[in-house]
Amino acid sequence: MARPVLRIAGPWSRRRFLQSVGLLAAASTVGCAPDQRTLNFYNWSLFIGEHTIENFEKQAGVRVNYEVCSSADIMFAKLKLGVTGYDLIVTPDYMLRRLIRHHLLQPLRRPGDNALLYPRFRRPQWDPDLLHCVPYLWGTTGIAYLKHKVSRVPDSWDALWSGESGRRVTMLDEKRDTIGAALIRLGFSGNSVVPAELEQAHQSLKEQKQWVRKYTSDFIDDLIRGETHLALAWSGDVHTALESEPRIGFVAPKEGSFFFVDNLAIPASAPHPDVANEFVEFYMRPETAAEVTNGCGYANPIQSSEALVKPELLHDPMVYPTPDTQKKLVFQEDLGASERLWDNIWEDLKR
Amino acid sequence: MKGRSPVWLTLPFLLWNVTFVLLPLCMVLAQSLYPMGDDYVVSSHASLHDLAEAFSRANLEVMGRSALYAGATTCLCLLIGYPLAYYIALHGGRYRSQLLVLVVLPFWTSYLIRIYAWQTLLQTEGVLNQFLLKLHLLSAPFQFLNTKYAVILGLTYGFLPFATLPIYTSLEQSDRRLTEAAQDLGATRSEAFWKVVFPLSLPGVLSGALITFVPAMGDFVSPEVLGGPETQMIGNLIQQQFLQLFNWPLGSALSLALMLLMVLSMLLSARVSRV
Repeated sequence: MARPVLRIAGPWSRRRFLQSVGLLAAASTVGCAPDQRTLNFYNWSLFIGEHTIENFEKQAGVRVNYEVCSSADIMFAKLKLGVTGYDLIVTPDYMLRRLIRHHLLQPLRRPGDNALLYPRFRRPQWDPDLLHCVPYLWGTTGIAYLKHKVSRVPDSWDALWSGESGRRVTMLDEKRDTIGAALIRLGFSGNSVVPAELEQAHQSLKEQKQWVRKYTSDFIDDLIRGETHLALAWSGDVHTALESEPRIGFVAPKEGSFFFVDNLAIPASAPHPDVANEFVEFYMRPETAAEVTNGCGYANPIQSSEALVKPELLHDPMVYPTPDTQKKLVFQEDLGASERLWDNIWEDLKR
Repeated sequence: MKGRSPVWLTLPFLLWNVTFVLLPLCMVLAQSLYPMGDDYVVSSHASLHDLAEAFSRANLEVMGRSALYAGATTCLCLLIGYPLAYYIALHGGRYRSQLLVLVVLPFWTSYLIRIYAWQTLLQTEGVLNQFLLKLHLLSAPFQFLNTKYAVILGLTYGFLPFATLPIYTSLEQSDRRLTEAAQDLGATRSEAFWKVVFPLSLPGVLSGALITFVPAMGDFVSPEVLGGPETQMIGNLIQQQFLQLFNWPLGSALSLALMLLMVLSMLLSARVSRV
């Protein structure tokens, strides 16, 4: 039986190119009184609970504009170029240090309460005292695969390089994940800035290109359509996709992989910083954090929310990896001036 | 007033072009002269580094690939567009204007969305593969997506009206009595076409080719949506420099290189049309 050709509704990538959710959210707020306080929230698509915005609007008496961001690099570019208007952003761990260094963030009104977080997130290396951010949601980078198309669980990074599935692999259109995976596969640190190690990763990615359909963050789409069988993937996206295609599996490779943590932060240029601070505090309540996790399939770092998270999520290693898996996961660090080396590789790979 | 040409009529156009073309172009040039330093801070020393980098071997390869895809697209558009324009212009009869509307109808939908639609048509379990399998032209589904063929197909589909319309105009304006005269003088229908009609339509063909080739070369949507890692065009390279790598200086330099390519192809076509 042929699968339907057109897929109208389906799961969304966190960083989807064609965004309609933001538009909907924006449209739903039209008609509010102009003098109302507003929160301009710049976040990934579908990276929030179903009622989070609504609840916050009611409780704080504000109007929220949820604008969808398609890439952390674009977010940085916008802020760096002086685009203003955003009150609250969600930004990855490695980008946060860069934003602070470039004076693009303002401190939180009250530093985040570390004690509320799981021990692992209490002193994050990108902002140990939570002066500028509060960890928002986190996930794992790993391999997504079509269970009925692979002979065994692809629990090693080699699966993406072996060519066993032919030219049916996608890699993420994010240099930190794709080059990082290549580094870990070769036994190096996923945050390496050693030129010789990076050069080896570069060569291995070039060899891998013959199996790569494309570099895309929209990997879910191709998996569901059966176009690809293996993908470098983000855990939460896979979890959301299970509604349309239950045969997708996800594994954090045995060589190790990345945690990625997205954080709430307030741009230096925010027009309504007080509302943004209110949201940060609103988020740190266990019931809010749990509602967001239940809605989007990404784990949150607020420990006391655990009791309110749906059990099927809490016990799903795709969402909350087992302690054994967690031991093999590392954070993506800020690379400082050495990021240039990564950029050069990325530039070469994609041309 | 008599005899004085109303030059001031061009004023709005000049103002527009100076503000939105000339000035930005100068800014692009200026930007390309100050390379990006470490940690995404633009250097304060002018250098030709990025302009030279834009013409590095790897980047020239991408430009060559872009020109190749755009060239193939132009050929396909002319091969499909010429007979179409010929039919509408000479045999369209009273349906001519309706047929022309059909040619431009796709413009009612955004190019991006139409290219996304091709993704669905071309996928392994898509309409095209199912059709070819039913006809037993294929024994197993073919991977059309993420190949250069898919990219060229997308470009051809997108730019076909650009090629068709100028050819139509030149055919429509050609004097039909010349064909009759040729036939009266003993030419067969095909001789009359190749010796009279076709040469007279060449200016239309040439301008159709130019307005297909130039935008096709700078396109980044078709390679982005239908292409793979080996089929990126110069437009993708520029987009990536601006949006992913935050290297505006190199992005600007690459844009200038692309513009240079376009000017060269226009000069070439102007030269051909004079011969």
